[in-house]
Amino acid sequence: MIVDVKELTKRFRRGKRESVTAVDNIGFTITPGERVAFIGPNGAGKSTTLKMLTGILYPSSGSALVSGYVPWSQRKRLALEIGIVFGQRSQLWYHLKVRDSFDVLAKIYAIEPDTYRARAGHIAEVLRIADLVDRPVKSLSLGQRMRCEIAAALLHRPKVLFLDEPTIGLDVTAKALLREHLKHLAEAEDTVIVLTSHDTGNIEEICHRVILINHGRILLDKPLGDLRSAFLTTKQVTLVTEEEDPAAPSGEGVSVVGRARHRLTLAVDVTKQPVDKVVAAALGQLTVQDMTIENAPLDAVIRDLYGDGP
Amino acid sequence: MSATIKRGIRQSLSLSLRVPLSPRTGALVHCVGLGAREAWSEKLAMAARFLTFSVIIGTWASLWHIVPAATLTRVSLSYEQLVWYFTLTEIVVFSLGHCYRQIEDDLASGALTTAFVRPVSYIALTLAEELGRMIVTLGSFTLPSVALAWALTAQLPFEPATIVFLPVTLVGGGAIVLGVQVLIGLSAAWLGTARPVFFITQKLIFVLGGMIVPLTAYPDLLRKLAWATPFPAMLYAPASLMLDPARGHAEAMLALQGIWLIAILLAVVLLNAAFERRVLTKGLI
Repeated sequence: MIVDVKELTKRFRRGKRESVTAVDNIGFTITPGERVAFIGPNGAGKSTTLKMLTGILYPSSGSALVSGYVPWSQRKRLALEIGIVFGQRSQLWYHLKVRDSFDVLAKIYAIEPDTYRARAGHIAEVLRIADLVDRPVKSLSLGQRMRCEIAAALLHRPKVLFLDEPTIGLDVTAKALLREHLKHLAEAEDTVIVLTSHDTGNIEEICHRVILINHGRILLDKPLGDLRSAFLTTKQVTLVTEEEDPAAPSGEGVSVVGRARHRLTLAVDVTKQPVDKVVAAALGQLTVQDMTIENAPLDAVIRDLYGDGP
Repeated sequence: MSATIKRGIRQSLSLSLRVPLSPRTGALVHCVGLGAREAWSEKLAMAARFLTFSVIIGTWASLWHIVPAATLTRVSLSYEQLVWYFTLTEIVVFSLGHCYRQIEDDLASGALTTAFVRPVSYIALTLAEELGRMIVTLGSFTLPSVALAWALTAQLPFEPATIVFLPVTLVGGGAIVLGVQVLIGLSAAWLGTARPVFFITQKLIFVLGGMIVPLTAYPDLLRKLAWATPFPAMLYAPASLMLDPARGHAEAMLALQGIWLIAILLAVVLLNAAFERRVLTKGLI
C-alpha cells in the first residue's frame, strides 16, 4: 500500500462557534502503480484531501500514511517521496531560466550531479522541453510552463505524483500533449498518480480508477471501466442517411438529440430499449449510409453522479 | 571590482560541488549563490540605487558643511566623521531588499503550497537567497561609497588594525536587518499584511539605530532606550567604526552584533515554527 487513509476528517473553524467539515471521515487505499482520479464539484473536499496527503494541512482527526510516512508530521521526509503539480501555483523560479530552477531543485532534493544530469536529460526528452530549459520561466506559454512544472516535480523520481488541475487553462493541443507525456512517464516508472481535475479528458486519458467526493464524503470508488458500465445508461446513435430529412424511429427511451441534413442523432436509454432494436428499426425505415454508436460522454456520467449526491 | 565579484559569485555557486556538504547545507549554499546571481543581474537597478544613495549623502554632507564646526565639537563630532558615519549606515540600508514582502506575497498567492512540499525549510531557503543578494549589493555598494565619502571629506579614517572589522560588521548589520524583515514577513500569518509592522520597524531602525546621527550625540534617555533594542547593532555598530577606530571598540560592536544575531535567529526559528503550525492548521495556503 502506498497510500493508506483511515477516517480522515478536516474541519475548519468559521468564527468562534461555527465549523465547516471539508473532509468527513474518508478512507481509501492506493496500491503501487495505480493512477487515481479524485473528482467532485467545487468545494467537495478534493484539494483539502490532497493537501492533507502532501502534508501541508493538518487533519482534525484520522490517519494517513503516504509511502510509509505520516504526511503532516513527517512532511520534509515525505517530500523526497512525492512530487506535486498544482495547476495554478508554480514551483519554478519565475525570473530564472528553467534550467536554473531545476538546478536549485536538484540541490534541494540532494540529487547526485551525475544522476541529476541523466534524469533531467531524460525527462526533457520525454516532455519535449529541451529547447525550453534555457529560457526564463516568465517567457514560457502556459502549456510550456506546465510541461516544465511536471519535469520539476519528477526530477527526484517521486513514488507518488499529486496533480491538482494540471491542465487548467491549457488549449486542446497542449492538454493532449501533457496527458500523453504524463501517462508515458507514469507507466514507464510505475509512478502512482493522484489527480484532481474537472476535465474528464484528464481522467479518461490518465487514470484507471475514480474516487468521487462530494460534501467531504466519498460517494463512489470504482475502476473507470466499472463506472462507465454501471452508470452509462445512454448510448448515442448517429445515422448518416440518403434521406435529406430522416424520420426518427419511434419507441420508448428513444429521443432525438441532433438533426441536420442527411444526419440524425438519437439518444437511447438502454434500460428501456435495447440499442440493437433501435438500430434494426432505423435500418428498416431509412437508407443508412453510415452509423456510429457511442457511449454518452464521461461528462454526462459525472454530472449525473454529482446530482445524486446528498 | 566586477571581476572580483564575478569570481566570488562563481566560487559561491561551485562551493557545494567542491566541498562535501550535507544536502541541506548544499541547498542553502546554492541559494546564497542564486540570490547573489540575481542581484548581480540587476545592475541597472543597482546603479539607480547608487545614484539615489549619492544624492542623499551629498545632500546631508552639504547640510553638515554649513553647521559651524564648534556646534559639532560640542557633541564630539566633526563634519568628516558625520559624512563617513552616515555613508556606512546608508550602505546597510540601501543593500537590503524587502524580503518581508516576498514572504507576505508567497502566503497570499499560495506559492507556499509548493514551497512547503520540499525537504528544506522555506524560510531557510528564503533567508539564504536574500543573504546572497545582500552580500553582492553590499559588496558593490561599498567601494564606490567609500570613494564618494573620500571625495567629500578628503579623509580615509581607517586604521589598519580595524579595517577587517568593517566588512564583517556591515554584513552583520545587514544580516540582523534581514532577520528582522523575516520576522515581519512571518507576522503576515496573523495580521494578514506585514506592511504596517514593516513601516513602524523601519522608522525605529532609522531613529534608534542612529541612521543619520550617531547614538553618542543622542540625549541620555533616548540613547539608553536605543541600546535596549537590536537597532544599534544594525546601523550604529558598523558605522561607529568611523568614529572610534580602536580595536577594542570594533570587537565590542562585533560582539554586540553576535548577540543580537543569535537572538534574532532564535526568534526566527520560534516564530517560523508558530507560522508553519498556523498555516498548516488553518489551511492558509
